[in-house]
Amino acid sequence: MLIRQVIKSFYILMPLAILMAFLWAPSAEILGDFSRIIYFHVPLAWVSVLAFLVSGVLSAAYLFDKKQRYPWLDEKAFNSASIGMAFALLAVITGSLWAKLTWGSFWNWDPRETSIVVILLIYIAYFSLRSALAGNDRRGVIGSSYLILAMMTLPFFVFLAPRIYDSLHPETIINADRTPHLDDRMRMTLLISIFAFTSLYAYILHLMNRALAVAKRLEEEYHAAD
Amino acid sequence: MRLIRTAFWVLIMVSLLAAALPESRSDVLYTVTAVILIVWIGLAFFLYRLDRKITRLEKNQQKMKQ
Repeated sequence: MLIRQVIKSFYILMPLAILMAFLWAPSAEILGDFSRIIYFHVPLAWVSVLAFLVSGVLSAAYLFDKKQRYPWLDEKAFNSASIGMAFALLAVITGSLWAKLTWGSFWNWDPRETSIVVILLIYIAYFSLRSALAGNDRRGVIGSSYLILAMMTLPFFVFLAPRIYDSLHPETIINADRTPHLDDRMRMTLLISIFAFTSLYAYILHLMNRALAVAKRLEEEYHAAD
Repeated sequence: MRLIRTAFWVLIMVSLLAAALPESRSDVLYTVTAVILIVWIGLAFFLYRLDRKITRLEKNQQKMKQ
């Protein structure tokens, strides 16, 4: 019950984050008002990585849960991966707009941009694989195994690759000094926005899983009536 | 009822924030904020309705089982 209330907190946190991002947080010194995209771009990227990680964990649970105590885990993993894909695309779009405003071009093949392209390709391949296996009994096992492999590549593409090569992106929040170089109000706004987007993700996943359960039960009833 | 309660809290938060706002913000920022908030309200309403519909379906299914 408490978890439900927490994930519904985005109804309040999201308008709050929007107001704080545009009207409360100061603009960055060099980037000016363009810097306000950070309050949407960073949470979107964070949620996409979280959603991909959750899909990997659910897939592992599906493979270990031989007795199927938790039903439809592979479908739930698919739901999480779908949300992750949508959020990753939104992160790419917002990032691309920001790149045009600050670096003069929509796409620069910066290490972080390149790594997100690779991640998107990995997950597009998952969706193709899954749709190609429609009606196949091994669909859940093969799809879940693929998602675990995809999850294992994430730390390299998200955390390692952008730090190995010189990047146009600013120093990451987890940097060499181990302190975020952000004004207090900017940091607070970013945190609220990250919480808002995370609870929005949790809420959408919860809705999708409930709709899935309703559809599956209907399907079972239909087959039982046959 | 829940919708009214949520709207009430949103209004409270907006009022508190409005009181804390610095005065030197350009009109463009207010316009952008208003547009995004309107889009967000539409989206939140859609999600709320979807939640209600799924809840109704779940309840119907439970009734059918009984």
